[in-house]
Amino acid sequence: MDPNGFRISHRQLVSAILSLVTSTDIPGVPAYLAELGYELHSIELPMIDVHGRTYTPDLFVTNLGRHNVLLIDCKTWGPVADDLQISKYLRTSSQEVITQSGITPFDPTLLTSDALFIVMSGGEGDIAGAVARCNNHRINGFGIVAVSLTRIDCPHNELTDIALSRSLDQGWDVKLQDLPLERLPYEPTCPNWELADAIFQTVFSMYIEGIRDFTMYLLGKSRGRL
Amino acid sequence: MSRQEMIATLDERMVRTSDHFRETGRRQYKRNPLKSFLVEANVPGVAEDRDAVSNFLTSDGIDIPVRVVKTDDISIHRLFVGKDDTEFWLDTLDDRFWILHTVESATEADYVIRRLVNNSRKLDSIWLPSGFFEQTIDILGLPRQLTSKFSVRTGLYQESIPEDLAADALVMKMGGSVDRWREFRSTPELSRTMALWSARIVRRNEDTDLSADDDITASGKVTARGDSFNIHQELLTVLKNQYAGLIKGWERTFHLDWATDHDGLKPSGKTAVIPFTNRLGEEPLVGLVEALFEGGEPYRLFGSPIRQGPNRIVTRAVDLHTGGRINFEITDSFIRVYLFPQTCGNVLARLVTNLQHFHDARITLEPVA
Repeated sequence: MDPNGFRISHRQLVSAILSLVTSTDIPGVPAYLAELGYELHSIELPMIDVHGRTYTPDLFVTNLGRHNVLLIDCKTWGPVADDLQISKYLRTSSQEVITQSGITPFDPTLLTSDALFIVMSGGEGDIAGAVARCNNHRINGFGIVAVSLTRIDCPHNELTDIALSRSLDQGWDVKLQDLPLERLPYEPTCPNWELADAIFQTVFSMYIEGIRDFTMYLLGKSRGRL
Repeated sequence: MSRQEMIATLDERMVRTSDHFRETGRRQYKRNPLKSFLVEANVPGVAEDRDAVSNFLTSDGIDIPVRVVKTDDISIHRLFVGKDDTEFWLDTLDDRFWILHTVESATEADYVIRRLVNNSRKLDSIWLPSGFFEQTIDILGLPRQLTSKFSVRTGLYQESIPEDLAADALVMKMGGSVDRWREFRSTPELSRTMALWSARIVRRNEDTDLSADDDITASGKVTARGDSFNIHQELLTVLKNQYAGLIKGWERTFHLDWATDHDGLKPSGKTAVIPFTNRLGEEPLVGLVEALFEGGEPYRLFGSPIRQGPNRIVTRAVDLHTGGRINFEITDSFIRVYLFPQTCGNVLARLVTNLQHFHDARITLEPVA
């Protein structure tokens, strides 16, 4: 075991934010988004913008009581801003959201859709620049959330939902490493050692179960179930 | 051979042993008390296939040779195990929670069960976490004696105590009152080490005055004295049902899964969290992780711990009981468990119970809000 510094992966950051919508499972650490009335609709919901360009938000959460939904995109380290992808979020209107997700708001004309860009602390400036470069926003509001190891803040807050906006203005005290970071299975962008570890676990599990022959299809099918 | 014959045989054995003790005040030489072992089994087809038990017990995954003799009852088998043909009756009426009975000596029975159950895939002991065990005692009968064991490596079923105890070991017997036990357990001096290892429980039929006087251990061994196998069996049934409820409830809560449709992914299930009462230092944290995932008894987990920053270790492990996958995040404050959808929930009971007996008796599996 190498006691080097902790560097969160995209999969782990999405898992952490997911726990703020479902349950942190830590006594005293609220699921902030859930407490504000937000519910998880789905992970990686196929979405389109007004031009029909496809993308998949990491998380899609809804608060139909407050007529608001959030398209959440998580970014970790390195060069984080992708102008094209950010423009897709910003050029998505509630109509696309309703048709793609199949949600039934009380009054579709009242539904507001916000984009929430969640980045590791230090990356917020890059995102703000990409947002500024994008014209013709169709989204109702947006926020850029900066995550540090001990706190979550919202340095750029133009969110529609006043309760969410105020809550994020105060910041959320969260120790990132204590959140459930392993809920999502590994993904193609995971480092090789993580993929190797997960594949070893699956092969060893099959061996203990008595499986002596397997195909790559079987391995792929069973490895990502968690 | 039928269930009735098994009952008659074992009842006669209990009665004779009891009569001899009552008349002479001594245990009869070479007359061993009946021992029953509750076992969790993940063997498919046992309820409907007459050959499933014998096919399984004579397969490669079993650590010791077993000769299986079928009876007229699909749920009753006689087993002759090992080179000494140690004899057991196997009751698989509950196809997941089996009961093995034997009147062989404790030494022979413990050896065989350890090889048959704890070294063989698909079989495991039941594991009674202290809090669950305490709550179950009153349902089972009247407690007469409670025993605590902490940091004592005697093997799963052996009752003897080694001479060279670890510095923080605790072995303590006290008269049977769960309330009094809890009072002692809540004192700061004892709370870390007072994990419930065994309870002597008397269950009596007021109408017939027959009784069973059972010693139950946290790893599912039940040693019976008294004069009624039926009452002993009642106790086993209640214990089995209570335990089955615990494990199935945990599986319903903690199995993590995903539903996939055109709307994207939706998660289900909750993570299981085991908080530490006191933060662990670096050395105890590493020591605990190494003990957990080395692949040996009592945890039966194998995995490669991966450090992710200070005080955080992630392990993708495999439960050697069934081959089920189970992931862990371990920090200086807690263990978080990710139970895959097909992984047997018995692993949680094994983990919690053994952490209580070797790490900290105050360990609990937190119900998640």
